[in-house]
Amino acid sequence: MSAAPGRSQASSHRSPQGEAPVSAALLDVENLCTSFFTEDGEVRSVDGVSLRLERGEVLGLVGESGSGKSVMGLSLMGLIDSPGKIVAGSIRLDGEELVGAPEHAMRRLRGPRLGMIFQDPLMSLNPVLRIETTLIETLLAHEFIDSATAHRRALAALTDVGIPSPAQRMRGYPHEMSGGMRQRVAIAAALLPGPQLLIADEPTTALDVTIQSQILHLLQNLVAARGLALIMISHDLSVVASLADRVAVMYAGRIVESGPVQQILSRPAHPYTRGLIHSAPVMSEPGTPLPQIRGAPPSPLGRPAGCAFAPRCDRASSSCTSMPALTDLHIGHAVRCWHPHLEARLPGIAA
Amino acid sequence: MRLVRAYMRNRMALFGLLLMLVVLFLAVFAPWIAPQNPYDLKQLSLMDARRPPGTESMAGFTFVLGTDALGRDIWSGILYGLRISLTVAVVSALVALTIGSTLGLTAAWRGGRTDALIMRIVDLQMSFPSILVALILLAVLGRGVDKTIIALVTVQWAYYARTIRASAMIEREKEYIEAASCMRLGAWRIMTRHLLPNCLPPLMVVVTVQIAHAISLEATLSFLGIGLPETEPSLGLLIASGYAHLLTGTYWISIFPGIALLIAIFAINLVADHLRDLLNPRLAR
Amino acid sequence: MTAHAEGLPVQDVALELRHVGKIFAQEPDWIARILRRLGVAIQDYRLVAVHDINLQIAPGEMVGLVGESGCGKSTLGRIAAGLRAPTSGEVSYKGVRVDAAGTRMPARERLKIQMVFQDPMASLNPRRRVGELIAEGAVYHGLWTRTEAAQRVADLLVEVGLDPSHAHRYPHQFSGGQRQRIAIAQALSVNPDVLVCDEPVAALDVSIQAQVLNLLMELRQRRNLTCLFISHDLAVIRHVCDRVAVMYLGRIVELAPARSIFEDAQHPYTRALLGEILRIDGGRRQFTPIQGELPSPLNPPSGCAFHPRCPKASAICASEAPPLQAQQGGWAVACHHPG
Repeated sequence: MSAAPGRSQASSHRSPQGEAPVSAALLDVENLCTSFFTEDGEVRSVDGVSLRLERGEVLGLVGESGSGKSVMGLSLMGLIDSPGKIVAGSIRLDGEELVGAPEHAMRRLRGPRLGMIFQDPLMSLNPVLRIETTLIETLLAHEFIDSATAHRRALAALTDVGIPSPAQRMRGYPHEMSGGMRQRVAIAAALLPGPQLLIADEPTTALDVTIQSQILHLLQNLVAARGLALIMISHDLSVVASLADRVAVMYAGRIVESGPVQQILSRPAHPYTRGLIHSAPVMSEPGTPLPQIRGAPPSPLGRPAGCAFAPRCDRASSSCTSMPALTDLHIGHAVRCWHPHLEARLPGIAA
Repeated sequence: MRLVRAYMRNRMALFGLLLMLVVLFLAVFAPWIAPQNPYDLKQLSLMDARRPPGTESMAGFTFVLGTDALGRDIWSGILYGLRISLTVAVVSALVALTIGSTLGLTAAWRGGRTDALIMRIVDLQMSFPSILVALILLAVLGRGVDKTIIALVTVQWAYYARTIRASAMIEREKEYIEAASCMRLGAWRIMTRHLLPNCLPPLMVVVTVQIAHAISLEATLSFLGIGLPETEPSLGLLIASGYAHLLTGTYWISIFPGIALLIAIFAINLVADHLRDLLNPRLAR
Repeated sequence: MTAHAEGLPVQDVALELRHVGKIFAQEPDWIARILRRLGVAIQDYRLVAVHDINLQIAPGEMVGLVGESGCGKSTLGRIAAGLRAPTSGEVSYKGVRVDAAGTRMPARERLKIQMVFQDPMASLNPRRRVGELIAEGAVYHGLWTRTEAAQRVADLLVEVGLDPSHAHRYPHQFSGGQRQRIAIAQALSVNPDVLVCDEPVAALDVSIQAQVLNLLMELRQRRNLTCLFISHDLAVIRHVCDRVAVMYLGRIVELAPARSIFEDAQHPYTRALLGEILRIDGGRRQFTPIQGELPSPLNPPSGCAFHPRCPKASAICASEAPPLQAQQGGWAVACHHPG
């Protein structure tokens, strides 16, 4: 399914009575705008992003610094604090509106329905608390169970994420573990209340390559076993490629391309996506100059009017001074560009 | 600079800065503002002794804050006293800064035994109460401006050394210092031109706080009758001279210099506090 | 031991590391010693960061050093650049000993080895103007006069792809990729022959990485630089380097030409690393990660450090650490069961 470009498309899915349809998407984001009001002016980190996520689906959100992908994840969780604010748009989780929801309502959702893991697992794990305290605390906050049950469930959660000798590790502290193990515990903590949606913000960026693979493998298994919906935020297209069903590429606060992962990778339509794929070293003959995208991503403060990628684009023309809308190229494949590539990209170099 | 703009945003801080500038102005231009030079014996007249505030003097101007036992105008005394107090405090702070920074930087750069040695001396210095050290030193050295400055420097340098060492140890591990080492620039050059400028922010706060501390310490010493000689009376001495008469009616001799001292220290502390708050989020960035 | 450059006369080798080792140890202080006498178990803190490294780099060659956390590649890079003293062994430049543990410190030779660091934010002094930073080393060592410095700085900025009129700006006024270019310009200002690059693109945005890699490749050609390229990313190394040294827990486990390492990796760890390279055109994949955690250098496994995680491990692997053995075709592997 494509990312909804505007209200009109979303409403066409509704039943005639105007109620939410029976097979509603798990997550329905429409035209979300999140801004930070700093002393230098308003910084529009997320500028009109719409997307849909079905149950059990994995969506990859790819972007570089300044693209707004992390702010997007935090906005979904309702973790945007002053001076930031969601200024427009709607986020519907299973029909329930999250934008403007009071904090106590969000607290009911965070945990049992929505979970998040971060690049630094110490953002989820309090370094001065034992692992079991962190895990059990999370459970007791959301459910009325006795501590013995909570303890058993925590132990089971640690086993599920592949921690060796979990009973021992429960009594330990985060700093006694390696980065990879800490991330596993953070995943266990996020999944313990049984959420339907997990948001992972660069979970493997800070980890070594061999450990990264373990964590991705774990996430893949968890998604399959629990029917978990996952939003994987990363700057690395290859990480997303290996895990996601669909990909949305963000640039300067907007989605510039979205669609099924195979489609995006083999036929990238947006010059930025194409540039990203071609500039990866694995795609070129060793020793040759890499195809590069000139310039640098725009700072969130000084975004040009019109297409934000135009200054770096070889295909830019006078029409690029106005912002293109996200339009469908094929079923499910949408792109925001006046001059999208329609042909398949160059093949990569075989290993 | 962004720092200046951010500073200006806080009204209390602005007030503190204004107050401090006023104090500074008064101190610097004392000879031109004061209606009388209280140390010029020719201008004094015993007929004016112990006059309450508001009295007319023999020479024609008003004693705004009254006079002391020798007929000296309190207001003029405060202005000249501020001058001396500030000069002594600032000079001693700067000298202590130089000595403390050099030692602290060397300790951080060299590490190992040098660091241990210097830091143990710092610890030793800081474990003695500053008043006690100053008293003992001045008892040995005698009275005088230079001797007071020496005493103040001795009790202050350790704070600077410790502060700059803490910053320097963090900065030393950063890659731009490694880049400078790679360029094989001499150790002294790296310390002064690369390390030191990046360790300045916390030092700015320490300097400001220490100046206030030096003023109060010097006032205490003068009150006790040691340190500055009678020919260079600071605020402390003025307070001391009126101390005996505090409850017998001629309150103005002690109270007004006391208030002046309070305002000066308060202003500097205000500025220092806000500098510290401002620099903290920046350091965290 | 050394593949490519073996047998070359000493002056023809640009950079040589012989039996380089680095141990971080903390001697127990007097309190700990007393406690130990009293029977309290005090642990000795002893970290073998780098163990017996031998490497010869020919002039104009680009050798990649790849590995994960704790493998010692960053430490080795700094030892090669003369920033840290090795506990044992020595580093030579064209036959002249240049490492930081040497007694004579030949300034001219040591200046010929420069380093480019990982974090462009931290590798430039934030309080100095960019032009001053670039010129400082060259002026200090008398390579440039003060009058010609401005022109030389402008030339260097153009060479790394920046606007020469920006020399008066401060580092924070540039983007990450531009700062890295400035750092490269600074390193080039003293005309080095050898450049040690410690993860030069890891901290940059993906779309900028290609730019900086292209710049490095171009500079290497133009100036005939010898490079030691340190990275955790085997794909990047394979693209820019001639030879690759794979490190694990302080030792080189495989040394091979970059072109062929993808097809013919001999060491199980190299194979595992290659398997981790996530391919963009691979699409959804089934992961088969190697199990186990990266061992801590404080507590290394016995024998071959990789044996707890190795699918081919046998009895000898747990007892004896395999030496790096040269094979034909410029290859070297440290494994009891290579291939």
